[in-house]
Amino acid sequence: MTDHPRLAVAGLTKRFGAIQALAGVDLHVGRDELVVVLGATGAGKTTLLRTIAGLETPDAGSVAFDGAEATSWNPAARDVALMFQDFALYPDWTVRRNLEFPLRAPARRLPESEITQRIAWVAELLAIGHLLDKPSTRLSGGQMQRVALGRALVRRPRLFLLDEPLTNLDAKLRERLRLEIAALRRELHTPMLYVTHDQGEALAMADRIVVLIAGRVAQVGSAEDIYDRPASPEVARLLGHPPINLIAATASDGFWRAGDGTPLAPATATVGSRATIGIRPEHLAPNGGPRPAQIRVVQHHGAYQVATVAWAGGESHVLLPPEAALPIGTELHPSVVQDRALIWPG
Amino acid sequence: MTTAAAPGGGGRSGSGGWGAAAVVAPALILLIAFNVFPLFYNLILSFTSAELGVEGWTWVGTRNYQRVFERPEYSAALRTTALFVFLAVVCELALGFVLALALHRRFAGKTALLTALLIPMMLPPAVMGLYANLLYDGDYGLLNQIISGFGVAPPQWRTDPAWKLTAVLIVDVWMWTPFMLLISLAALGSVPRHLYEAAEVDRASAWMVFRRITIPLCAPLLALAALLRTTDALKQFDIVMAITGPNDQATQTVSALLYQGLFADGKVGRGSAYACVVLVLVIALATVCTRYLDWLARRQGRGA
Amino acid sequence: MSKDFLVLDQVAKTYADGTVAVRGIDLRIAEGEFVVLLGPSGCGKTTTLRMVAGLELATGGTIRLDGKDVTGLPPSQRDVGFVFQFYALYPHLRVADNIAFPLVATGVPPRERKERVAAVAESLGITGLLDRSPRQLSGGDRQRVSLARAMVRRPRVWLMDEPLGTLDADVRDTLRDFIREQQLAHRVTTLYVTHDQEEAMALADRVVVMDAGLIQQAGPPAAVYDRPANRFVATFVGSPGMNFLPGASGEGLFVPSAGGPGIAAAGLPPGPAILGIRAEHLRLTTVGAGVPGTVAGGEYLGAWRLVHVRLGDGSLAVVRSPSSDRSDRPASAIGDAVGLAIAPAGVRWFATDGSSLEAR
Repeated sequence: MTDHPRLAVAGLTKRFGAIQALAGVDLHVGRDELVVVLGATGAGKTTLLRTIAGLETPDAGSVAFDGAEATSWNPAARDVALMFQDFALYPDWTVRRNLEFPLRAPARRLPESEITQRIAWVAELLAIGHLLDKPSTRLSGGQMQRVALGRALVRRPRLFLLDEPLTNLDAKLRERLRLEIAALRRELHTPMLYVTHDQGEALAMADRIVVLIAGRVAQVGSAEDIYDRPASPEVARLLGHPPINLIAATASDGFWRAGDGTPLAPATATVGSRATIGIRPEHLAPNGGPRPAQIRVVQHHGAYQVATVAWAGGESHVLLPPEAALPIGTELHPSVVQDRALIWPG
Repeated sequence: MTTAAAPGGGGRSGSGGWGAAAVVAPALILLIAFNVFPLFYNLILSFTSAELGVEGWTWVGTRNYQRVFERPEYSAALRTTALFVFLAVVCELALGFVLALALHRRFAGKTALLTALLIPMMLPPAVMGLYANLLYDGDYGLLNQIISGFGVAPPQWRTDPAWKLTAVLIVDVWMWTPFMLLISLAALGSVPRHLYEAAEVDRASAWMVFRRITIPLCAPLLALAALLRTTDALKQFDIVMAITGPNDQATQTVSALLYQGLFADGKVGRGSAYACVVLVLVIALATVCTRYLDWLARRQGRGA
Repeated sequence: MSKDFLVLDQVAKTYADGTVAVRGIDLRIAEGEFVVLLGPSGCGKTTTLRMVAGLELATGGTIRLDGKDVTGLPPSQRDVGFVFQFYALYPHLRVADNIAFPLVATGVPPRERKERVAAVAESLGITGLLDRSPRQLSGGDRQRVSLARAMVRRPRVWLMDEPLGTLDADVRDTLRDFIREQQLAHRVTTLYVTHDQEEAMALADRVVVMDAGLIQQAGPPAAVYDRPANRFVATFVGSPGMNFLPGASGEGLFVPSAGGPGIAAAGLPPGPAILGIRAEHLRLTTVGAGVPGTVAGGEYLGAWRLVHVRLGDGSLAVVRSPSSDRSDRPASAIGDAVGLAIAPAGVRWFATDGSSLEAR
């Protein structure tokens, strides 16, 4: 029994009319693990969560909790807490009543003191103490999101399912909450399955990342694994900010060369074979390379600058130190940091 | 996405059968007793010579239907009804929408005003009709006293054939304009404020905003209201009954004629045949309604 | 080119219920400048933008556009293009008709209308969408259409209210670059509102940081990041925000109250002060060699790694280092005792009330 993961999903398939939302998804979440499902809008993330929560019936595949086959269990029997992307608060209730609701479910019967204590704890955690007696319709979007998060956290379920819980929040609050959620998971020892399209959240929070592309699992691994060794250009593009430079290349004279002949990486493949070369902006040094590249746009990010340059027959991003004052039109000579180019043949 | 969340553990698929039958049985029995049976009974009667107060009846084939199509009062009643419905719905919609435009903002006493406007809608139509009679009275009625106050010779609302239908119409408009007003307010309220703001920044004139934004975005709900009102106005009976009685040529709607034929003249067979003809027309109209609602729902469902 | 193309002079907004949204904003925007209003929810940035558009009326101060007082004018008389956060596309009109709407409104003849819609659609890469309904479009495409509608009339000012707020990260990046390119190409004066400091830094010629209805600081992105006027700006701009170490100075040396060796503080008046330092100017070292603390957590960000260190006074400091720099690795397990080494070039001084001591 103890060998079983908290959640095991196998071959999960779900189709809505012409749309194949899930095409055979396998994943598991350990007993003390924060797994992030990362994917673009429409990749099937929400359907996956809803199927695990029991709100959708899969066309095929199975869901198991702690080794017990649960595909046909109703949502209540699964004892998971689901936080929706669109907050779904009860509109005419106060924040306190919204938070108490999951604790007052007949299946739980918590003593009043316990309820008060948990509300106080979650209110403190999410800094919503001053809102407790306001009706939920009077809250701002960010406040509603925090209350909705609180409503999921106030329970002690076997698994938290969080559907882009930070999406509609201010950037600063998002940074703080992603830390707090990760810390919380460690403190509660309750596993979380966390769905997001934000690569920063995925990298920062995840024990393991599951990359979902078009209803399929494209790669599973630690943040470092997936960032450093993405399985495909599609996965590589999902992670990293500014995004990775992807360049179509052909092998000739021992190099992978871009369409305009710019050498990108040493090639051992036969002359004429094709590949997609991925170079992360931090692995493209501004100078030292053979070919010139004109700066088109420079964007300041505080600790560094991102220059968009015309290079290798397209546009690439290069990182520059914060103090560099390089006007538009300046010529750089980008060079790829040794061994850091990613190569996907085909 | 439309997927029914099916809670309930195991046998969720096998739980149909007798259990489900037991749950729907009472409703089904009532439906059969009060809807299906009368319908078929009516259909049977329409092929007979049945009359009120006359013992026994015989099959007469399609003779009743022939009469319905030959005798002028039947088609006249259909025309009267159509005219009435058209005028009533158009007036109520126009008036209701214009009122809604005026009331579609916050002001002190809005709730009280709306409540007052809604009172006629809540009264039984027959009461409204009887009450209207007091107003319409040729000599002592409030309406004519006001009109003569302007030095105009007032019409004899309840006796002049040229004014009788108008009299009925006015009461109907009085009763149902508030309904259109309510729906119009809801429709106006459903247009997102930022669309008006966008139009304003786009430098659109007030008239253009009204014509290109307000009207098209309110149209689906208004059309739905018009359809509902049409099906309801088709049944017009109470007000006619109160103001002119059921057998007045100027105001004899389909329902009034049915009443006259069935209960006053006792011609049950022929009345039933007429009822069947009307039923076919109503079903056709109802089909248009449901198709429209389906289309509306699909359109809404396609995207936010 | 006017230096005072769009001028806000003591502009304020108090709502009927007494809520003060904007306390008094002074801002001079040059023709062709890209200015970003940055701040948390409720700081008054959106209200300010809407007052410039005329969607809200200022309750104090004046707004001048190209020398003309527009404070009391309705939006239709201000010649501005507005991009809404939630697109505000007319749902019953095709994309082409949405874009043409401002042209219809201003009486542009149909032939010219068609040409201009086609041209703007071409430049935004949405020619293929012209016959679609807005309902059929993705969020990114909807916002492109919304941009096209704001651009087609060639207004004198673009006003954008968090146009990228609801989009996926990758779409957001693409569209962000696109907006900047368009703005540079047409040199249209732009006022842009966001709560995302990264977006603000990336787009702006000048960032205006707002809080509590007031401007906290205005300046080029690098200056706001590097020389914040107060602790609010220092915290809000930059991800993570600046670290602060309270302490006391005396005899040219600042001693953090969290402990550790003194730090050179020439010119700092004696007494309590706060040392501010960005995460990239901190480095993990041995306990004795820096401000002592324990590792409280870490965040991997791809190119960078953040280590959160709990200091003796309970506060958190964040250290940022390139992921390729493996030197921090051995000492970054949660609970490890570490020291924080401070790069002198990164030190910024603040008074105890939070204001910067740098300007003097």
